[in-house]
Amino acid sequence: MGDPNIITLDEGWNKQIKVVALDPLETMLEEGFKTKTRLFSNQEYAKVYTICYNMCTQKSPYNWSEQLYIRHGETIAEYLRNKVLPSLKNKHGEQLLGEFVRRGENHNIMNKWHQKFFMYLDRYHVKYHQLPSLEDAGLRYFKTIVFDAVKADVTAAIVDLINIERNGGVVDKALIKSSVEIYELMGMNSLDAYVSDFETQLLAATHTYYAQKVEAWITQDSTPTYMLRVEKALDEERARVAAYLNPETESKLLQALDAELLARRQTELLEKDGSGCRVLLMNDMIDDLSRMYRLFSRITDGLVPVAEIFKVHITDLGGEKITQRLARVETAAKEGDKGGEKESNDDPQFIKDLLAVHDKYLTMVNVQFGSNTLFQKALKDAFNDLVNRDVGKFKTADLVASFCDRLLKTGSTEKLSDNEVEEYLEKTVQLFSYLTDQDLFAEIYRNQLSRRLLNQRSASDDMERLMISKLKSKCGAQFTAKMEGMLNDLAIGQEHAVSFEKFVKENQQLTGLGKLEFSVQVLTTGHWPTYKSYDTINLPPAMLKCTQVYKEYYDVKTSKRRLAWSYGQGNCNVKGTFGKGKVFELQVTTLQAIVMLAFNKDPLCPGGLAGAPISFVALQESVSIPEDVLKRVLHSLACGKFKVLKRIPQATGGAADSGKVSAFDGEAEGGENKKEKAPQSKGVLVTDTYAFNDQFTCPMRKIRIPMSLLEESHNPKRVEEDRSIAIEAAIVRIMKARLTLSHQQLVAEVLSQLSFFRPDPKVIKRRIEALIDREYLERDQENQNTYKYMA
Amino acid sequence: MFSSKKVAKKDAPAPAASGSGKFDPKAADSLYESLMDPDDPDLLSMEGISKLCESLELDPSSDVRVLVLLWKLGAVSKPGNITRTEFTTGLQKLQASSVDKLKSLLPSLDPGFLDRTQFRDFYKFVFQFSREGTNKTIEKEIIISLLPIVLDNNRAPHLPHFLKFLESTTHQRITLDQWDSFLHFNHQIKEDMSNLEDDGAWPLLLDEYAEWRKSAAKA
Repeated sequence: MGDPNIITLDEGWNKQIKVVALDPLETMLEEGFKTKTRLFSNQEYAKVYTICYNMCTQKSPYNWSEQLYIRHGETIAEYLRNKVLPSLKNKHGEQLLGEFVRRGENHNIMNKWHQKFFMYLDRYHVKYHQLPSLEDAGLRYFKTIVFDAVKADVTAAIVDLINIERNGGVVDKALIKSSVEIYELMGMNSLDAYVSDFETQLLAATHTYYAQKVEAWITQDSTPTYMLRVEKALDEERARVAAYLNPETESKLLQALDAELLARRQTELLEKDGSGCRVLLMNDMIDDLSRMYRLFSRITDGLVPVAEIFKVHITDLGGEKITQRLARVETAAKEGDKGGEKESNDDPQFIKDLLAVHDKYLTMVNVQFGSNTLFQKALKDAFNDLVNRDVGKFKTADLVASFCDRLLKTGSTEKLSDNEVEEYLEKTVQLFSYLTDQDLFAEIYRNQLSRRLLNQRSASDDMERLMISKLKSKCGAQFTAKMEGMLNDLAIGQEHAVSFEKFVKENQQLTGLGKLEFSVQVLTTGHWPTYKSYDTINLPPAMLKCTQVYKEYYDVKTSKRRLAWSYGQGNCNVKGTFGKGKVFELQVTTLQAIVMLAFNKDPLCPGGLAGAPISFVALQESVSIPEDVLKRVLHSLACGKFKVLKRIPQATGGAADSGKVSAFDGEAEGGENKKEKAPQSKGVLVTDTYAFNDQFTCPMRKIRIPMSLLEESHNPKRVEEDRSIAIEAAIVRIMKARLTLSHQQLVAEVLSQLSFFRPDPKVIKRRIEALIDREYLERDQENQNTYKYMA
Repeated sequence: MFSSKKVAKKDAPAPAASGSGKFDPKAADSLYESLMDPDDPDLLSMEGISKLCESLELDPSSDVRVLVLLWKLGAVSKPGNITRTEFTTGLQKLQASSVDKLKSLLPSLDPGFLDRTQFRDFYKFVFQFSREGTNKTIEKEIIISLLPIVLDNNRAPHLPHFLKFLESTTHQRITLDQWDSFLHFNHQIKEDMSNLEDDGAWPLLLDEYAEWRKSAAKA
């Protein structure tokens, strides 16, 4: 006789659980349950739970745990098979989705209640036998029975809706979202189902969709328009993901767009006639360029062709400026032949043009192209090319230096504020950094600096120092050492000037300098360019006295230093009294002053023949300057704008002396001569005679009489020599450290060590051979390609 | 005693003995003295060397064996000369103390017997010996006449071209490095220049030669 309290399987299952819970549940799901907020009341639930509980805790053989577990699953499976799947199988499109979502939601509910009813199984039976939990089991049934069967159709339906939306239609976003969520659920704690059953198909469809769209766009749109479309499409897809897809899909989806819209069509877009990248650049369409940059940075190496076009554009623009300069040069050459201005190293227009181009595209690099290194390099490569091209007789390094000279000297025709000057200097230094022959620039710059400083033509000491510090931070202290030395010499010079004045005052009787104002600028040898000293010159006694006094002073102030006077530099203010006592203050160079003084009536002056004319030869002898220099001095005094001296050329075939003195400007005809006229020379001849020009007059009282420069702007030979030395020093340094190197390695090392110029490998080879001859290096006997250091 | 009669192989050093007797230091000395200038007893200049050549019936201006002999004797201290010590020591090395003995050695002085390393050494010697006084370089004209004496078309397939090139080049003097490198060049670079690389370490003179060949080929 059985225990009346024992629930049999049949009793418990069929009469209780099914009846009270499972069947009603199915019915509710089938027919809808909108009215109910809760499908089962607590009482109903408790009852079922308890039955289940009891059935699971009864003693064996009445412990129905296993059976209940099996039947739990079977119930769900049957329901799905018999009711759910059929309802989906005959639907399509949006209808299918609707049903799919509904059935999915239902399943959640069913799963939830089943799990609640049979909860006790989860606690012990499931755990003990390591079975899938009730919830998992239920879910799996849904996946294998329903989901796997309909997923293809469902996916297709979703994709269709998405494409409709892409084409501008309105779709039920919530429906799609819910559908997608079921896929996510089907992955059982992973996105596998989502990815393989939905996302993959979506991506393929996306490729197809956009590939087809592009066909139309690419032919009818200009590049800017096309790019706008791309941006719009990207934004739309982003929004799509946010609205109803899994966030993981975003990057893959956008990649699909990148591939179809950008990567595949890049060349066409960049080179489109009338709207491609080059056109955008030529028309400064900066917004479109920004967009282009943004879009193409999305694809691998997408920016490389853009940067290339950028570089070519800059190079062409710069090339135009060079062509313009060469045209100017040619015009100048033609005029030079006619006697006008020749080609000079002063072409501010050219430098400004280059600076403007550089500035414009540097800004573009930073603003439109996000300071991307590809574009920085493009700009750099373009300018490295431009700045080292042939631009006529003078190299760009020379032109750049002369431009700086303009900026830094007084009396410049450009009226620039301090800020503007500084800006120009800063930009010029940028341009400078592209030069390969920076040492040439330095040489010319130093010479020009020295000229500015010694002739008091420097506009601002601060600006000079500023420029030098910019060069220093670009190139290092060694590069600017001499320049700084020059400025320092001047600063020290100020100090000396003060104490020399004091010295003179205190030693008036000794010096007797009295009325002559005299100041000295001491130049430290090595800092300054080498100037000819003309130390054979015969100084007028007054000047001589000055130099002697200064030497005394200097020897007191310093020790072990030798002063070498450089009469080629320096200035004088000479008071000239002409005619009936008209006094003019003449600003001249020292050499000019010395020559002028020779014409004084003062018998104390050398050659002072009391105002009489002096022949060139006699003059040269008495003053003792080289012939070509004397010619230049006399030219400035007798043939230039202010003729304080008269030039008396030797008349052809006749008397050429004092008798024929007349105010003369070098072009008068010798009409009286019946013999053949020698062509009147505009220049100074050694056969000339010169005299004080008593008739000289001028509206201004203070005049500067310029003289042509005695020095070249720089000495190209010197630059070459310095380079040879630098190359040899580098070779020896490298070989000493490495002891053995192949030829190619040595050349490469040398090039990398020389920062201020870039020698031809041939030049390096010549230096290597020279060092072999001088036995610093030898060739390896086995390997002719290798050198060895000879200690 | 000259025991084993060695078979003269082409690349073996010259046979030590096949003539008159052993080395006699006194004879060597008197040989020297017969050649020297009494005013300059320690150094045999080209005059004295020419005397020797006469008795050996060699023409010093065109016979390479003269140079080979001087090389073997070891005339290294002063270009164009040989010191007494070098002469006598050299003779001893050769085991020759008479003109007759030297004459018998003449066949062995053919530079064809020298292997590559030996020849390189000899070749270098020729340059050093042919300098004038303390000059480190040699005039182009001398080089042009010297090269064909020392080199033949086998050792130096570039020789005929190079000589032509030298006539037109602006280089007026040739350095040891250039001289030396020319031989290497012949070893390494084919006559048609097909294996010459662009960025080689050859002296500039040879780069110019290569250029000259190239433009001559185009013409």
